[in-house]
Amino acid sequence: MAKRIHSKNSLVTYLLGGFFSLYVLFLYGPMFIIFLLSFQGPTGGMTFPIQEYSLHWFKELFSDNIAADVSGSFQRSIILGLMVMTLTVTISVIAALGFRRNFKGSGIMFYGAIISLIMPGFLISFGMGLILQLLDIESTWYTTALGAQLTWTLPFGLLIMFAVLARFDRSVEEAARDLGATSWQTMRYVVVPLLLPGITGVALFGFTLSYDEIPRTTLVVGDSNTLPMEILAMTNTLTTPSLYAIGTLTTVVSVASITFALFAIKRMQDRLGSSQIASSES
Amino acid sequence: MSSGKIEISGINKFYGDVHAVRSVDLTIEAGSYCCFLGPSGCGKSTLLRLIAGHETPDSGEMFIDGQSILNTPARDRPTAMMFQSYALFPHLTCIDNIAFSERMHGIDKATRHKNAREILEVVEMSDYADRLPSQLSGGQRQRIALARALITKPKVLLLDEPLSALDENLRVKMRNELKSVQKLFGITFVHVTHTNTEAIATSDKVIVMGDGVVDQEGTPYEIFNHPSSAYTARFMGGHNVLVSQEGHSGQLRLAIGEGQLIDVSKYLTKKQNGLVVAKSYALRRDLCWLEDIKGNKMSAGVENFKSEVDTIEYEGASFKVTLTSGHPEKIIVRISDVDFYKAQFSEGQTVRCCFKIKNLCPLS
Repeated sequence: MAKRIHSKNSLVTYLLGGFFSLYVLFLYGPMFIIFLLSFQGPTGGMTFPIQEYSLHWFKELFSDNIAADVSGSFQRSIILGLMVMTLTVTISVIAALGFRRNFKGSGIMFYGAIISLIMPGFLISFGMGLILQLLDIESTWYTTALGAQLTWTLPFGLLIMFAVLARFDRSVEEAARDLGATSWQTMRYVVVPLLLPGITGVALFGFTLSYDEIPRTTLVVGDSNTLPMEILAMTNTLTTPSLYAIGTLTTVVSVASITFALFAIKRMQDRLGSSQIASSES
Repeated sequence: MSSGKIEISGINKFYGDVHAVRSVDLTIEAGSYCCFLGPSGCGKSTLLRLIAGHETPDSGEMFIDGQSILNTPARDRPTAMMFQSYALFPHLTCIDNIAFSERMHGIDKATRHKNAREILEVVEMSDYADRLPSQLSGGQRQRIALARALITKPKVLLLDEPLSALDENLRVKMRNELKSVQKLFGITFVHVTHTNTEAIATSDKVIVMGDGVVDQEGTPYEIFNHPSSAYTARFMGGHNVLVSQEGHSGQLRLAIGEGQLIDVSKYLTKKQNGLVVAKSYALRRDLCWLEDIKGNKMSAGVENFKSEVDTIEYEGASFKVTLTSGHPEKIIVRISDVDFYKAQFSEGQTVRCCFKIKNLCPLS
């Protein structure tokens, strides 16, 4: 009897394992192909077979042969991403803490903030572009595009903070006050240290959402493109494996920032583990 | 000498439409151990949080050592609270948890760590100074929480169900320790619990609460032996509640079951140990006894009624025998194991349940 149950279980395990393998292949297969082809030799084309492995198309990317501002747009995207990240963290953390008070109209305000998540991004950009034109405001990547991206990242940040705070035991705040901490001290020494891993998560989301944002940015980015916008433009004109090289490069940046953030979260949890007072002593 | 006298008058607290604390008046003597006892939702924790300053009352006054505290925020009150879940700071080591309040008051690290180590010794946790709360057992966490509260030198220590997270053996041990710490520091302890044995074992004064009001206050002895209401008698456990029926012409009868009444009118007239007329009476379960149905003549002042044994439950040192009689709840007799083994009662057996009239405690 026991043996039969066991064999039945392993059959299910194989079936589910096979299904999962297919899923992973479907998820990462396309990316892996792009990754491989980006190392195509100088004589190779945009499809298989690979003639020889080289970094030719990466070099090509930064040469004058390409009529696109790859390094400039890359820089702009990084700076914009950091700006979006900072604002998203600041605003969503403060807002989520405020929402805990259940003030009058908080429900309406919450839905008002969340609703921009389900609005088609392109329409937001379109509407924003029209308003800017009416008001005669010039679009640039660091002002109007920044605003457009925040309509996307802020609700995300807010939702993450809600989830983080839902697991937060408020009695530690009461304990801090009971032990003589002012509101500011409670925030500084208890709430923020305990929320820091969650806050880092919000920062990661803020940055990565901005880094590959297109629909909302499209019509309000101004004269200088962000990286995704530049790539989008290039796909129409570029017909060499340099296109794949861009894909590989941008993926590396994304993976690096995610890895960095996860590492930071892990380290923070470890540091929270050890004495925090010792390290923050003046 | 001791400080921490708490005076509460006319305190009311509403949560929306819920009247959580209803016009409570209380005095808790300085340096005493006081328990708020009641089921969950009776307002005992709310009252504790009102004293701590974590809730604001809708009306009333509160004093500690004669000084009004209602306008003082929680962090400046001469109270310290030990939370039900202990609420230790998970990111700080034990010693930094304990040193937290002094850190907030700007005391330098060397001094506050020295003070924290002293108090760690009092709670016998010196070896755990550099551990994190997550690396401690429930009992150890409680000691750290206690130390963290005591280091603020409070006049009043407020304990919110401090033992509920511990297993039974540890609970008994810790309640003894709490009591000795209270004696050592000579401050007022206010302990909230829903466990009657805990309240009786620890406190100088028990305050039984129900539905936002104080039902009865007194020493553990008074509360257990002379409950003043059916509510307290039932909550304290160990009591049968017998409802009385006043007939015409000054008759008094106790309802034992459906249609089964004991006439106790004759005891009303007696001068000594005379029975006071009341709506109902509490009768300690361990002061009832069972006899064989053929039994002998009853001695003076003893009443009895016939009933059937419904269930028998073994409790170790005693047996809990539930009878089929009783109104509204079944009558329970607690018999010592020695007596039980002598008589060998069995379920379904018809017995005679006896009690002394003087053990009837009138309830309001």
